[in-house]
Amino acid sequence: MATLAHTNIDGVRVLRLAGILNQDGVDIIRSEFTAEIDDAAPLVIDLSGVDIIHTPGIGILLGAHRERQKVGARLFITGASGGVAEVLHTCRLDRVFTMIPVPADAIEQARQA
Amino acid sequence: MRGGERILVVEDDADLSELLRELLRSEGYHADVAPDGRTAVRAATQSPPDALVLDVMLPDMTGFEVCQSLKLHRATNLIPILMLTALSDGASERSGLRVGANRYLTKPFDPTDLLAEVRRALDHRHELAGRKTHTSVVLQLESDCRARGQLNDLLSELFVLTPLTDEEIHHIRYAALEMIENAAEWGNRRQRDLMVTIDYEVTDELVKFVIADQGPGFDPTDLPHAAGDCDPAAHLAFREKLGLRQGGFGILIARGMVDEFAYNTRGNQVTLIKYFRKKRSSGAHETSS
Repeated sequence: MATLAHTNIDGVRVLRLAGILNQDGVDIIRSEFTAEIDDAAPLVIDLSGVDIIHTPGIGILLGAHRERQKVGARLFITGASGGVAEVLHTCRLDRVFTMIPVPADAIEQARQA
Repeated sequence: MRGGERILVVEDDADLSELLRELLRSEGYHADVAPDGRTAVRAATQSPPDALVLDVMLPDMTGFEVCQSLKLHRATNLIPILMLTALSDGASERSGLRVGANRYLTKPFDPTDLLAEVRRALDHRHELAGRKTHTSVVLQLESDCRARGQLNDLLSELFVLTPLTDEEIHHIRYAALEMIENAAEWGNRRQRDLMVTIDYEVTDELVKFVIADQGPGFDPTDLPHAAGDCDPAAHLAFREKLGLRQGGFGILIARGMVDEFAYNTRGNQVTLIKYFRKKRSSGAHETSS
């Protein structure tokens, strides 16, 4: 089961993902997630609530990263810890994404972007 | 002629069960009979036989349900099960995910074949003892993956039977789930009538998954749509060109989560091994075929 919540903090859009981002989880949140990334303003994706991320979850993050790159928009990934951070590191995606461990720091960087 | 082992025959047809009992006795085995699934599970739990000959159609539960009851308990997990199926029986219809038997024989069968299969099942038990295996389960999953939740639950139950740490469980479980998904999606192209077979074994030193699909296989060294070690994003443009979803990290992740990762030559079977901490510290290494 996966969930998505969106908020606005100091003018920065923050998407909070939670739960298990496997195929079933991604299927639940996909359409809402896709709608949220279509904006040129800086975006923070908070993974603090994500328990496990599998390839489909990585896929939507990558998709968001690439779509936003095309239009010159910034994307910050934050809150990854434990097994989630380990997976992103194993995939070497911590070299591809702009990853900021602490959500408050990520929001600040996005605000200044 | 060898024998002396105790075989439990689970069959509700009185004539057939008597025939099977006499056949097994003629080969030197001790044979008991249970007329239904619950009796069989109770008998096998109270006094574990050396093997089960199990009909798939029983009055109270299917043979697969009996398999599940026995395979998910420590005391009866290693009892080899020979399942008797009929081509037209309803219980042989696939049910998303099931715990499998060790060997299968289709009715009507030749008595010689039955005895040979019983012998193979018993020999397999000796092999497991030689490898110091204390848990061995075979799962079969339909490739449209409607049973993901069931699979997760079943893996959780299996890991209870092992001495793995939470971290070890997380790693091997993660890798297995990624490879099972790969087998269903890429090997079997999500065709429901094609199965993913998951062979799970725990010994004193390691936990092992062997995951196989029924597809034609592939060359694991030629995967332009999968992430490589050097540049994790280099494959994405290729995937986009083919209209594939963003992904391709399953093998890279799974390889990073286990101590040994190897495909067979055909490319339709992958073996994942995680050694328990003590063994890893003495220098286990990754291999690939």
